[in-house]
Amino acid sequence: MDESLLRKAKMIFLRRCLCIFGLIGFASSAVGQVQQNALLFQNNGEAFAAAQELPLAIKVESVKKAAFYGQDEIAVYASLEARGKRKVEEFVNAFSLDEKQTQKLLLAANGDLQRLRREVDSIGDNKSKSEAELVASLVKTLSEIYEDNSLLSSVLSNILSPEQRKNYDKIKQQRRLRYRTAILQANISDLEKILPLTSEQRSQFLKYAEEAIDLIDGQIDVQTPERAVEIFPFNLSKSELEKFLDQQQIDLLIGQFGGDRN
Amino acid sequence: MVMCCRIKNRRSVLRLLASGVLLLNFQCLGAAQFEDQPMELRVDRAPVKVQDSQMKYYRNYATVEKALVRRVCKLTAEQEQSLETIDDRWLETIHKENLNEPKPLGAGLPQQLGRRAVMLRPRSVYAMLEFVANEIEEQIKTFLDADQSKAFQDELAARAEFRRQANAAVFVAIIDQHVYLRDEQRERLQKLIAENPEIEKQAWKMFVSNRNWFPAISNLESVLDPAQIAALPVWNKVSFPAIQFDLQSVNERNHKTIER
Repeated sequence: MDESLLRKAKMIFLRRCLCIFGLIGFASSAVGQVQQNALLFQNNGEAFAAAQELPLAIKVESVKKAAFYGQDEIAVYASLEARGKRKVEEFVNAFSLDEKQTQKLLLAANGDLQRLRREVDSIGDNKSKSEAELVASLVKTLSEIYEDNSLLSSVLSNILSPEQRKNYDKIKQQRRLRYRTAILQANISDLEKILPLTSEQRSQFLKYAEEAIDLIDGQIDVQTPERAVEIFPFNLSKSELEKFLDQQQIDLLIGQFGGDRN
Repeated sequence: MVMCCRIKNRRSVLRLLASGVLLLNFQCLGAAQFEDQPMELRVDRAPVKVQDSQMKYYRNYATVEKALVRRVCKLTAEQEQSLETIDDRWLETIHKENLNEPKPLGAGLPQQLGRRAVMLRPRSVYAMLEFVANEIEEQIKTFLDADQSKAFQDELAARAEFRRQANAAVFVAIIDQHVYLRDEQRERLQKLIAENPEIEKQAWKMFVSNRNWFPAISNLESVLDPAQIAALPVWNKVSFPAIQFDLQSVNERNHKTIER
């Protein structure tokens, strides 16, 4: 074989080998770049997700802070737990409950507390509600814990005998009555800031208030307790109001709270 | 002069302090030698102009108090005329003349020199409201004879007592909802709270509308059991002075007071 031809064939082979290696190198670097980019993209995605979660964490803390008035969550739970136990103790003393009934009530009180904890824990999941809505909801749950619609109240109703339940209703009624009377007295006191009353007139006002207390039952809105004072004077006829108020005072009452008296 | 001094070393600092003390001494000694009146350190920061809402508050308060005295006492024509002198001009004068509250200085060089030193500090808006309200009542009493004055004072005292007891009853009812008081506890608590001057000034409606808020009441442990104390919502101790709401309410469109 011609030596020059052989050299030429070697050169071509080498050139092709180099070309193939070059292509392989380029391809591998391209794959590496793609992998690197993918990793970077993944990292960016995680960072993005973390950035998304950061305001959420702040929101959760903010809701807790507002609902708990800046107090430590654990301290709030401890206080509520003590309140639950105290309430159960009250029932045990009032109705001479046995150990089994007591345990049921304690479990129910604990259930109410757990319900609150779950609501607190799920603040972050509730993305559709605004911060203010979440605070309002939590404050409401806090206010109503162990109250009429609670698990504790429901279990108590189940374990009491009819006689015990009657006594329980009586205790609740007395407590409500005291509460309403106090609200009415405070209302009359506030009314005196615009409408002066003599001691005698005040006594008359109180007398009518006590007589009308059942009438007002259910009408004292928790959110607007000042409305209580609007209710009872206007359930009296003008001739009844005239027995203890003068014309100027009656005119002010009508002018301030509306109403139509004959 | 002080600002111009450059503090180079510790000796300079001491010299500076010594000169300051000397300067203060000379001023006080000078006052002690030449003045018989109480020394006054005046801090005038309070606004001179009476704010509209403040003026409305004073006017309403005066109207209600005048209406009360008319219902308690049978006034002569002369006394009626005197009552009319409690007008906007009088209220504004009382306000302007009493913007600052004299407070005796508790310690310091003036006291060591045997001087009666007072510092005039500006009253807060709410302190002004209370002060002028008190002045209105005092002014009304000056127009009355001894019997009338006593009757008026008795009515004021009865009204204050009723307010105290009513507010206390609301707070007892709130506490009762939290810790289930016994009858004897309820009575003792009513007494304890009614004696607290701060509770009387609280806006009870705020505490009724949110059961998680709680007024700061001292000495509760003297009435409640430890278990009850633990059950109280201690995390929400807040204060809502009623006078703030009273001041806001005078600006409400439908706010009215008795006319006469």
